[in-house]
Amino acid sequence: MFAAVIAVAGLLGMVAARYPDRPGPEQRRAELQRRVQATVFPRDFARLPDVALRGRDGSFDLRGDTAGRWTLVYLGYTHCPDVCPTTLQAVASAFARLDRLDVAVPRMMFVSVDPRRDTARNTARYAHAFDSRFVGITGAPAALHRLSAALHLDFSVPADPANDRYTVQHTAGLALIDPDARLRAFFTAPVQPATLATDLRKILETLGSTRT
Amino acid sequence: MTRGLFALLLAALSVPALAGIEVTDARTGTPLPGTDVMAGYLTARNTGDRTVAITGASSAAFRDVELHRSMNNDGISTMKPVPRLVVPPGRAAILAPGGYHLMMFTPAPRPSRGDTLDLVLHTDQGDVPVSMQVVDRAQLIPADD
Repeated sequence: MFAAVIAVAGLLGMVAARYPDRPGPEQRRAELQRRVQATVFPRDFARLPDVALRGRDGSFDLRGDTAGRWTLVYLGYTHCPDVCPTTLQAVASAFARLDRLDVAVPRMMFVSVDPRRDTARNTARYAHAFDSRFVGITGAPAALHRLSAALHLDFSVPADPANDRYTVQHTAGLALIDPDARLRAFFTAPVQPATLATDLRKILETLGSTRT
Repeated sequence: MTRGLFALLLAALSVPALAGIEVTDARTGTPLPGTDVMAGYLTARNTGDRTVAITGASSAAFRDVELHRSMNNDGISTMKPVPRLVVPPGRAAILAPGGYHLMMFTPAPRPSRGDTLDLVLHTDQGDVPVSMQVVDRAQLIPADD
């Protein structure tokens, strides 16, 4: 027993000697945090729940369809005239910058939290209009609430609107989830294309390359 | 002749007297698929010597136009109608993405890039005509570098 403990300790010592200055995950995160404007989280959040949503081609399985890729998530609604188009356009411009640098972009997921007015199909078309790579999804209110809670995002839709012109309140920033479906970063609004592009590049370089 | 000249002079004087508001950079993005709301942006400078309040807008190109403001309250985006936007002399009201904007409902016909839309800005001192350009959406957000 003691021999085993000593052997393991010896092995760890050898590894430590071989990589004397190799920073741990928290050191890497803290160092990255100093270089980006986004908030970078430790790998502490639980994986996203397996929420059933709806996409252009029918059901969208949050875990299965986001696994293996970095994914940006933005909550909004298509009847939003100002903030949603401005944010989605900022992401599209950031992606265009990354394309020019030949840096792989994450998946961009626009989630309509207003299924009363938005179908999966029109949400997908709307997202697509900004960048053909953007994915648009929606779902039942309960599924959308589970998703937003897991991402520490928030939204509120009037329960009984007088007409079809109601306003939806929603988190204005963007969440970034890693290929393992864990929340890893948050970009505060207003999202600026150059800042978003620079931050995404640093975060993806430091925390792991995009696996497609 | 004198009376005619006088009338002409009055007419000339009455044009700048119309609220003393000079509108520039009036623009909107091409409409997005599946939506019937658009946001209009502009700069309204008060070139007069009296405070002017913008009270709304209208256009034959839309069913309704309202003055709205997007706000970010602790990270939550929300939007509210604005009944009056006060512009002191020498200052400008800037309607821009993420802030004040004209919320324009149900365009008819659906505009395309390059079109010019006629609107009227209502103020407490008269109406101001606005020619709004329909531009590519990428041109709506300012370059940040």
